[in-house]
Parts: sequence; structure tokens; C-alpha cells
Amino acid sequence: METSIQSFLARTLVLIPAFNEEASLPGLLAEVRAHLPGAAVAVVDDGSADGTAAAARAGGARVLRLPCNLGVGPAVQTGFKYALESGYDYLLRLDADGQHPPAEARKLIEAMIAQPTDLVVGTRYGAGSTYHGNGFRRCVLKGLALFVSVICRKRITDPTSGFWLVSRPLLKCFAIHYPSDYPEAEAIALLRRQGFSLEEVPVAFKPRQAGASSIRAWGTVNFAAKVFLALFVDRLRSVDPRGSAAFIKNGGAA
Amino acid sequence: MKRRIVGAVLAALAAAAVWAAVPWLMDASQMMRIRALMGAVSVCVFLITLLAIRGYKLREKYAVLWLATAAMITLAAFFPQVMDAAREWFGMQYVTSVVAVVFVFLVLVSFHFSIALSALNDKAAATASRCAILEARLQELERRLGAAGPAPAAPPADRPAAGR
Repeated sequence: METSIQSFLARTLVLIPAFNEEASLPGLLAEVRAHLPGAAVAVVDDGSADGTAAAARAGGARVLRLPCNLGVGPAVQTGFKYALESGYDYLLRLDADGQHPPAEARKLIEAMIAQPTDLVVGTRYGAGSTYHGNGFRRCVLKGLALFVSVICRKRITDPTSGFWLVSRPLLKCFAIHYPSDYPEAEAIALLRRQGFSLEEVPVAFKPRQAGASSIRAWGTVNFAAKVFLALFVDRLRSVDPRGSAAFIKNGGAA
Repeated sequence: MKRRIVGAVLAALAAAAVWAAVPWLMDASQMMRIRALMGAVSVCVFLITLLAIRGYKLREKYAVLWLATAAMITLAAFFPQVMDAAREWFGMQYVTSVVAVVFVFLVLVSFHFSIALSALNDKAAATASRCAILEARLQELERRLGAAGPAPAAPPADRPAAGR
């Protein structure tokens, strides 16, 4: 298993989208080096005003520096495109605030090796979960999970988790279109419609190291409204044939 | 110098027109005054639109809507019977209802601009994304070249936090 993980990591790009995360990056990058040796690391600096790019470079990561703040969706999509162009077979996405422990990423990799799929998502609500959000937010997230599960016809427990291990065919799909505002839930619904598969793996999330969540208390209502609207409108769209799993896996997209 | 003279002459002409118009407006009926105001507004819209196109601040494809707006106001100011005909045509009781229709037209114009803005947003994001990828690949190349030969030029200094 260990040798297969080593060869897997050599084909993997670790992607860390970061906005003003100068404080938490050095620790996170050290952890990545310790737990995921041999994997290339790229930090997308989403127009930060602090020393995020310098901290990333000092930590040995490649830096994709966006000239202005585009938001999490376009930042992540930039990383997807970079991974594609650089020839990586897998992309592991970690949050820069340290919520996704690199040590736990091994569970995602093991799941991908054991049963290859297009996307492995680390969920904080699996068996033995120790994660506790505040009551109202947890309620909204549960409702969202239920809704996404229904439209995906598959049980999804954590549609807002960004702890992802993405395979190359799905990177090609997301390079064409990736949602922008609160992208994860919408992206999951989208990839299911395009014919891709996903699996969830329970992992332990850590509390945030520094900075503040992009989804704040009052913002929960705003967040829910936008995500539900996006999910609804997505159902009204026709599937983009260039991004469909069948087209990409038959060598359609060069 | 020539531009300044032309500007001064135009300003003097405008001032003279206003000077001549004031006493006439004092004697004119209320309806005439409203029409004069609308005429002035339409001339302003025309002028501002043309100046904006001339200064490359406005693309022709977006300007057409504003020129159409100015033309509508001009029409209403100089040929009020057009408004009456429109009112009758649409079966409305008052001319003010026509103004409501015009308002809806302007709302549609701004909706058109929201859509144009969204498209622009997507294009700007795609461009920024491409920039970041190319910069990263360039740095990678420079690093490899630097390992092989003489040191490449220093990477660009961190830019000031722009665009926010």
C-alpha cells in the first residue's frame, strides 16, 4: 500500500487556494511535506493583500498569483487548469485555513486507490464525527445535504466540504465550467449530471487555525438562498456535451 | 490652442442661447417650458453619448440604446402629438402612462447592461486565471533555466494590492 501511495503522490498536485492566509500557510505547508511527501504543491493566491505569495514560496510551493481577487470558485478553477496543463493525474484540494489536515488526506488517497472514481470527498459528518457547527448553520447544511442527495440520487452528507481528491477526467470537465460563488455543492450536482461518479470518505476536520470562515453566521441565510437558487437553475440548463464524462473519457477533449 | 478656441466659442454660443431663451421661457406657457426642458435634456443625452464614444469610453454597440433614448425624448419634446398618438394606440387614458412605458424601456436597458457586465466579469476572471497560470509556468521555466545556465532576471516585485 505504501509504495502505491508513493507513486500516487508523484502524480498528484496538492492545491491550496488562499486569500490573506499568510499566518496559516507555513504550518500547513510543513504538514503537507511531512504527510504527503513527493507531491507537488501549488498555492493559488487569490489577490491577497498580505504576504500570502511569499509565505507559499518560502514553504516550497509553486504560486499561482491572481492579479485581483476573483473568489474561491475561479481561484480553484485556476488550479484545476494548471494541474491539467502540467500533466497531473490527480488533484488534492486543501483549504488554506488548516481545516483539512494533510494527514487525513491519506484516507482520500487510499479510497481512490481501492476503488477508482472521479472524485473523493472528505466529509466531516461521517461515522465517528467530532465536528460541531452552530445549531442554525448545521440545520441549513443538513437541509442542503438532503436536497443535493435527492437531485444527485446518491447520499451526500457534506456538500460544502472542499476536501477533494479530483481525477484528471473531472479536471477537464471543471476546466470548462466551474461554479463561482459557493462552488462545492453546485459542482457536485453538476458533475453528477455530466455522468461522473463520486465517493465520500469520513475524515476529521480541524477547527480553523487563523482567519474567518467565508460563510459567517448571518451569511448562512444568504448562502443557502444563493446555493438553492444555483442548484435550481442548474437543473434548467442542458448538459454541456464537451464536459460530459462519456465525451471526455473517450478522448474527446484534447 | 485651436481646441480651446473652439471650446470657448461653443460655450459662448450655449450661453447666448440660454440668455435668449430665458425671457422667452418666462413668457411661455407651462407646456412650452416642459418641452424646452425635455429638448435640452435630449440634446444633453445626445452630446454626452457622442462625447463618450469619441473618447473611447463607450462602445458603439452599447451607445445605440442611449441614442435611441435621446431620440425618443427629442420626438416627445418637439412633436407632442406623437405621445398622444402612442397613448391612443396603446389605449391609455393619460400621457403619463406613456412615461411609465418609457421607464420600463430604461429598466430593460439597465438589465441589458447587467448581462453585459456579467459576461465581462467571466472574461476578466478567465484572463486573470490564464495570467496566473502563465506566470507560474514562466517561473518554473526560469528556475529550470537558472539551474542550467546563468541566472535569469529577478522575478517581478510583489505588485501593490490592485483591483480591489
